[in-house]
Amino acid sequence: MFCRCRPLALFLIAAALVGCGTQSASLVSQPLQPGPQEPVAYLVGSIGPQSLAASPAPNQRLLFRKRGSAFGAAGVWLGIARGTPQDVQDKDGAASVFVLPLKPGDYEFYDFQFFSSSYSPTLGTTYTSLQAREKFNLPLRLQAGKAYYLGEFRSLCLGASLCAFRWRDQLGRDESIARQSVPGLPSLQLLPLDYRSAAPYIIAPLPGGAGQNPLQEKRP
Amino acid sequence: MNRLMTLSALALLAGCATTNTLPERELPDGKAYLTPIHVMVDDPLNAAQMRNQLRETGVFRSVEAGMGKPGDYSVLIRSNVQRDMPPFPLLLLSAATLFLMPLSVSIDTTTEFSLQQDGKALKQYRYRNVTHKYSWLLDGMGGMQEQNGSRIARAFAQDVQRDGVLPEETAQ
Repeated sequence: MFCRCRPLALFLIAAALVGCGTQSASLVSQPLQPGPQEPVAYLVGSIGPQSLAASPAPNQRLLFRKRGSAFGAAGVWLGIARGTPQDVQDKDGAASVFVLPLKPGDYEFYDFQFFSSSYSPTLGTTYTSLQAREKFNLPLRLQAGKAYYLGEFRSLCLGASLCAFRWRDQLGRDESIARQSVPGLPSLQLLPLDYRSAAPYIIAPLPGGAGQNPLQEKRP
Repeated sequence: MNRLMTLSALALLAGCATTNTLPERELPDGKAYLTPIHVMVDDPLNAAQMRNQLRETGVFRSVEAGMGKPGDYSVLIRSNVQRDMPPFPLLLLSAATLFLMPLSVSIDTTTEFSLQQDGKALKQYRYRNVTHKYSWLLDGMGGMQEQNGSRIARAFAQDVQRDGVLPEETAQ
């Protein structure tokens, strides 16, 4: 009797433990996933809240799409029960490193999402999703066999409806974390994007270092 | 008997599919972006959605709101949307059959695009798309409205790209 039940018991334990694990920070829709023998281009970055206390949304995403198509990919940070791996742990924030394996071609970084749900006995469950009203367009041309680094995107929120990402270059730190999840990853190259067109949503220092730490420039 | 049931099930399911009069346009991959356009829409409620649909085509380098600087290309959009709902007795009949009876809903959109530079009209485009679907009373429009507008935006983007009215963006 016990022998017959054992596979079932093992299956139930495994199923229960799967629920406790983490899920991937990289999300690629099926038509954009390269096959086993096909060329791959990698898009790498990190996403997470600057401060866990000041960022109310437990589900944050950076959204990419294949140019002109309905298919996309996302870098995800999840802070609730089955969250994404908290690869970076700061004083009061956390971030996950995503590695998106994509078919080479033209892509666009076009939007983000802050998603949260809250429960109250009178209203039931309320879902809140915050996205750009007017999408931006940051073109990405991905070549086969290369790995591109987007940067670190740390979210900051003022209340529930005013959220933005702060961009920083953390290539050295994120490359070693990304290499742990994808061992054969080519060396990362920084993808310089002009974030001015995504201005209210992504805050980045001006390209070329203009306006970056003006106090330091004055020092002898 | 089985064949009859399969046929009627197929007919019922086929009736649930959304149909559009404007065919889906395939946009070629890997082409250079067209120069940025400034888009003004006569319907302020749906202006952001229409600009986003033009951005989704992946044809224009950027789609901005407002007039733009002198020399910039602008697009004026005039849109006329008509939603056809079934007559009231049919709504009552659907409610009386516990919403089992599907109802015909349709969106008929005519959109005019006027491509301009410095107030001079370069070319006009006009598209009509009728999206039709049988749906249940409480099912709502679903993704019909997005599909209806998206087809028109893609048709416009493909025609502008083919006609070569707008220059290609050189600096990546």
